[in-house]
Amino acid sequence: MAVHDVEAGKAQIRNTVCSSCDISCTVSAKVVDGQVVKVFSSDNPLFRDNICMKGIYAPKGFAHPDRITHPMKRVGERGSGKFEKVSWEEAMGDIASRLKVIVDEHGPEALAVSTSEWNSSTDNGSGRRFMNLLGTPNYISGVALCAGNTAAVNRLVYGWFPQPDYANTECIVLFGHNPKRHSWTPIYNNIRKAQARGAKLIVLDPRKSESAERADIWLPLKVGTDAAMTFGWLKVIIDEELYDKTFVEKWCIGFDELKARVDEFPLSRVAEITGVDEALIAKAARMYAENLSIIPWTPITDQQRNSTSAIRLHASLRAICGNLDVPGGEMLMGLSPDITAANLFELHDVLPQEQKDKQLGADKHPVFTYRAMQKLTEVTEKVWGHPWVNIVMGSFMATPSAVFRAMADGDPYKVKAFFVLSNNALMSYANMKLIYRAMMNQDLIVVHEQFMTPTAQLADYVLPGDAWTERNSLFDAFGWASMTKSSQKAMEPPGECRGVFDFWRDLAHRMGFGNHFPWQTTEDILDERVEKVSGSFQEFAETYDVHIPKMAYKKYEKTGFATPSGKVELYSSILEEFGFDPLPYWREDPAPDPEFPHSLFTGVREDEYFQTGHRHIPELRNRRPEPMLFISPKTAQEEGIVEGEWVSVQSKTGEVRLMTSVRENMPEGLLRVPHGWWKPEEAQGKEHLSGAWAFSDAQVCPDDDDFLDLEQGIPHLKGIPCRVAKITQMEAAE
Amino acid sequence: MSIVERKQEKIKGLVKQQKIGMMFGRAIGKRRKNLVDRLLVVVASRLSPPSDPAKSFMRDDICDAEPEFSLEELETYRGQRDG
Repeated sequence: MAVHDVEAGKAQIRNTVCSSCDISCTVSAKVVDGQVVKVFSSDNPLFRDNICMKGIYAPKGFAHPDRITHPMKRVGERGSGKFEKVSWEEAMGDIASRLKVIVDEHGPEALAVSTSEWNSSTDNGSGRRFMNLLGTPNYISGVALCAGNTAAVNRLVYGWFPQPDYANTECIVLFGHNPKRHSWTPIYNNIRKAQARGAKLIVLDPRKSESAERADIWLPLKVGTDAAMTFGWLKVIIDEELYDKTFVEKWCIGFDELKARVDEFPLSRVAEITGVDEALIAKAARMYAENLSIIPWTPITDQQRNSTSAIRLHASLRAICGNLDVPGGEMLMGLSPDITAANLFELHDVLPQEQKDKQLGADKHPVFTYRAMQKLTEVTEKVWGHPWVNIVMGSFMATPSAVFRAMADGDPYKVKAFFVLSNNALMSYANMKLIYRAMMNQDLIVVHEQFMTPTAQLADYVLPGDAWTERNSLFDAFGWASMTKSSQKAMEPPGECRGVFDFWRDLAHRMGFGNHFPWQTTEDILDERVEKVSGSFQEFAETYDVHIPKMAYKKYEKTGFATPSGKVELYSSILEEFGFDPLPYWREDPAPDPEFPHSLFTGVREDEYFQTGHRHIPELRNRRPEPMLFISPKTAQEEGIVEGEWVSVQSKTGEVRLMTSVRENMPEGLLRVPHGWWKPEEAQGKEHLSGAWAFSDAQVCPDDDDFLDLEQGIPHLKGIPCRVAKITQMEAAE
Repeated sequence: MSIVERKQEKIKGLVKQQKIGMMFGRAIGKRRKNLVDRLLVVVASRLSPPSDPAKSFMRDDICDAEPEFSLEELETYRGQRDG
């Protein structure tokens, strides 16, 4: 084990990749006597300053007194919060036995799995591999509403999910995105560096965010109107002939049809829908078209009623303006030719077609399921060298709402086992009450976690998970980028903590298909992944902070695009085949409900926390101890609410309790609800779920048809009708 | 020159630059550098501006403080579990 001594015989520095969030910053860890005592910025110039407070205070998470360090078995009724320690052998033996009974009785599709792979890092394709060998297609993840779905929709248009070239771009467009020093840190640094060398910044956000304050143009659009706004940009760009006609003629299909649809959106209509002045819309559109521009991925557009159309419209802009697969624009990186991507181990080809056809939600909302993505396997192999490419885990997923309905009601078939790895599933999707009901109706729930989350509190088994400095791993932006970063294990995990690869490998052997898991350890599969360039993972990690393959641009000129036509599909042949509108469209909001006069958005990251994590780390919690509602001064005044008061924010689906923070930059009638709140210090068990019943935003997020994107079935989190009412501090604590 | 032509010209220039830039990038991305990598890094550092105008926004009090936890502090903290 090679290390870099900084204090002879005592401290060591390990180069590792932070998994406090999903951005994967390369950082350094100082290790003393086998314990990580400090996390700090990498000395590699490529990654310097890519660190935030979540990484800096991570040692307090690794050493946290509440870490789960032994397998735990439920001993009371489900959700009683009563567990006892058991051995790994006992836990895995019983899990395998009970899973076999469920599979025998209901079929392999009765197992559903939910993961967050940035937390676990060591999956290496093993989860989907296990599922495919067992025969279940019912995989879900938070990436269904965060990047994975965007990847799938981008693939429909031009066959890959592009990466922005911040180093060379002339113009950056942020749709609701607000990267900050301690949230989306590398993106923030890249944007600030680009601005410092003269790149323009356009921000579209209902709030005057920090990014909006630094922008050349700020468009304060109404929440959830990204698709309508992009129609407006296209109207200007096409009418004023600012697009690349040669590229369109040679490489796009459906331009005339798209133009006809765009013509339905004169700027007066776009201004009415979005609330932004026509001249400002036109100015921004021109700035985008006249420059080498990028529209970095943002989870804001992922989470809207018109998400599929909005993502396709962004993709159309990139393509017709000549910003696709060029320096300064957005690059279609493809797979690394040298390092094997984790997703190539998933074995989707072994899952029988009849099982793929059972994937939940695919009938109504097929975009990121096998049903749609399978249409791309042949062309993906031709262009990118492998048929079953799964970018950001977002291809070949079931629809989360459909999975939870099957778990709860057995419709269209029973799902009776739910495995949740490094993922607080109860609070990570819309409609928490449904998810709770779904989990309470299971025969077997296994959770692999570091802490006793609300989800873990409902489990039959809670297995102790390792943390990111406690394992070796490789990072390639979850198959999105061709660059690969190494992360070295810095210390041993506490107690009996293990990685997820060990879980799947062990279970595969117990289920009778261990021969398909020939690796003994995570390091064995990492060795295999890097074997083209290094003798072992350790050698690779000692050689590379990041392995960068040779880059080429406009690769489509040799291969075509990985779409059925080989071209950019502005008019989607796949969506047409499934009976959807083959062109992007605008779907109006449901009629206003006077009972719910305001509108809320959720899903936005806070500096201190990532999703449902980190509330247990004292230094972070002290900075932001309570979940805060952001509300405009005028709306607060109208509701009789003042700074610091507790309120209940209610939608048709449920309510959440928050402390008021009156913000000048919030527009009237729009409420910002923080994502992922629970209080680890509060009582466990189904009655309280450590505060999740009081504070989790998943309770106000609806998943009925009016609030689901039609093609993907993902929920609309940007503009949920709501109301607000004052409550006492005592009521907030109940 | 039309907008599209200007962008195409810019792209052509960047493609050439990027071939060299990626060579430097690959060398910088290596932790264990061979002689060629080391030479490339030296050249890259000479070509880079002497000071980073962006630096002021890339650090702040939390990052600059670089907090380090003592083994004793972490032991006491962890011990709350067993105690």
